Amino acid sequence: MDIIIVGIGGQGTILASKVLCDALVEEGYDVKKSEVHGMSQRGGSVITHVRFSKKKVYSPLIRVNSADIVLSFNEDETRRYSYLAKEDSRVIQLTDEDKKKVFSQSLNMFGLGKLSKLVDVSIDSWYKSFRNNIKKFYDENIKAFEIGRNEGIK
Amino acid sequence: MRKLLTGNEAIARGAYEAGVEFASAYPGTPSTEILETIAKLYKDKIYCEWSSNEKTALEAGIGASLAGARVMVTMKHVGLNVAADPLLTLSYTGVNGALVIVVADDPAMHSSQNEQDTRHYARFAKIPILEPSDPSEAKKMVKLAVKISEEFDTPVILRTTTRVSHVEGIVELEERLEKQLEKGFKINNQKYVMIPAYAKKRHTFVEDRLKKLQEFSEKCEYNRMEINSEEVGIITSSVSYLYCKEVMKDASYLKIGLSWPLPVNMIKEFAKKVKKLYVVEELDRFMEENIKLLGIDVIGKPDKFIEGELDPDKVDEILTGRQIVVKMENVKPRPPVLCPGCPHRSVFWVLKKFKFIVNGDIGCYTLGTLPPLEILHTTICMGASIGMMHGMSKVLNDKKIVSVIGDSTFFHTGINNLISAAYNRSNGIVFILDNRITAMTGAQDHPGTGKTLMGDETVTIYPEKIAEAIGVKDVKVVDSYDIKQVEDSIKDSLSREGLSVIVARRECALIVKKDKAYSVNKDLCRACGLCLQTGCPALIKDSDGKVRIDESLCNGCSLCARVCPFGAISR
Repeated sequence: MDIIIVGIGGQGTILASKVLCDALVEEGYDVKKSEVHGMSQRGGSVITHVRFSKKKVYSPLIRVNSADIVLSFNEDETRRYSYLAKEDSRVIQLTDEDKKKVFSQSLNMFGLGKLSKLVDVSIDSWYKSFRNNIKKFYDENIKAFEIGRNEGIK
Repeated sequence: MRKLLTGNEAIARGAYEAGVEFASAYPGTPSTEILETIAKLYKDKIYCEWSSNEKTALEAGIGASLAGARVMVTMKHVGLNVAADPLLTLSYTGVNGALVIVVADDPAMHSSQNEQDTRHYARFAKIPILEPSDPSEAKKMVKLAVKISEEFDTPVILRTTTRVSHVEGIVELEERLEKQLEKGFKINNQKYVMIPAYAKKRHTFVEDRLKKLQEFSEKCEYNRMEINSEEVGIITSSVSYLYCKEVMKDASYLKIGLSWPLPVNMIKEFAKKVKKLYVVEELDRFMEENIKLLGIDVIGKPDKFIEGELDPDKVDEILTGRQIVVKMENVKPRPPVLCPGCPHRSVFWVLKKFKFIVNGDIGCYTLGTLPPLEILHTTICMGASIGMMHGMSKVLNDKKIVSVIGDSTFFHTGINNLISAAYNRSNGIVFILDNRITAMTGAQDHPGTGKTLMGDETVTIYPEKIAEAIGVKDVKVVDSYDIKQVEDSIKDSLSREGLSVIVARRECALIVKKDKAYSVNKDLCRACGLCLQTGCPALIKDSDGKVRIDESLCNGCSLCARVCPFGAISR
């Protein structure tokens, strides 16, 4: 399965992808993730590729028209990278409305909560990853994840 | 234990497991996190440091190796240009403790000024180079590099790319090799003093060593054949191997891990096993050209793929000719920008008024070349700004030719140029934008921060004191945020003959706590748009043309308030 996480530098995409990938590893998948650091952190467009499978994963980059899921923090960025998504991909578009539902710095975990309904990962694996990766505002982040998970994907 | 690691984290782990005891580097994307990881996780076993540049890093590494430590030195591709001088002769002297140089290339220039291919350096210096394709292999190859280095008495390059260094994959962790070499420098002038008489003998050694490495390359476990189809064979290396596997799983492969010296007999043998033979590699046609020299007919890539990085779709095109039609939506580009509150912005604002020719350097401030500021007119490499200013002003004899350079870049190689400019009676203004950190690569310490990579207190070196010691008469220190002070200091310097140094000091906005945000009084705002010309991302133009400040982004630097002619911005 191929997932892209897109947004703008500083929105929390990097932590979101870290939490996701560690949960996937815990669940026994082979995982490859690719993102670019450095200059793009300065408010630039950022994209993370996440690929996982019970079989071996080769390429760290997702092919054109291949992403099954798009988790996006910004609508322009969704459009920018839409060429990577399958025609029937599931798009989780986070909006200003969503920002009002959760603690301001945990929108990324809210998004992961929604995404968790689309990937085969046990709740135990998610929580193990939270404990290993979330250093700040743990309770707020967990709450945001749960709100997102309950809301699910329409 | 299995763990998801980036390539850089895996290389740090490899250093730990291989018994490395000394690691040095200058930060550079995409290599920076290797030393950061060593400092974070392994510093009780591995001494590590940010050296002032890649040359000093490698030279310290050579000393540590001769003293009997296993050594890793890391840098980005262009860093090896700086370290090339010691490298080319280090090839002659060889090592004592293993010396592994990790060089991270950046195809597609995600964060670099060029796309040079480090493999040429291995051939140039006549030393081996290893190319891992993913984090797991990167860790294993560090251990192999250590072994090769000690067995063949040679420095070894481990070459990654952005898609190896910044990719995460599953890595199996192992124990550290605790057995170390005996410490102590064994005097051996014929090996370590490269005067012509001794260097001639060492050159013979280098040529012999290359032959032995050639034999080793033929049986190296990381040069391996995977025989599947008889129709198509692919010779490939690094991350390109993974793209090929994604696209054409059933082809036969010759996967090259040790790409210099190439395993020529293995290549000849592989060529005989398949009907159609491709070479798939990123950047230059390094393997392709060397294979063609063997008289083997291989199909390389179209010219357009010499530029940029490969991906599975491009590899598909190379192997099948199939072009994937990419329907890109027309979305406004979102280039990286100077952060809200960045102290460079206010200095640039003032520079723009003076219509200077600005020679720039490498760092966040290079972004000053982009709209709306567009104040930076040249950038070549680390430290170049001062030298270029000097040369330009000798020809044009105009003090309005200036240079801007960051603090870390000044300590890197700017300092050499300042010495040369002062000595040669330069006329111009050097702006040292001192934000007290190596900012672009993510806030690393440097000689001006008073702290080492291992967290120890140390001397704090001030650029203005260096300028004074060199003999520059006109040296000033200003607050970057105080645009009036910056402007007055420039006017004063323009009235003086000779070289001027203005240190504009203010901490990087990413390392200090945010100050209270500013806001716009809409009654006073006349929608003139002047503040928007600063390019601050916290300023937003509303539909009525008036400006609003995004409080979550505003850092409270005050530049917009100082710039506004109507006093509409305050807090």
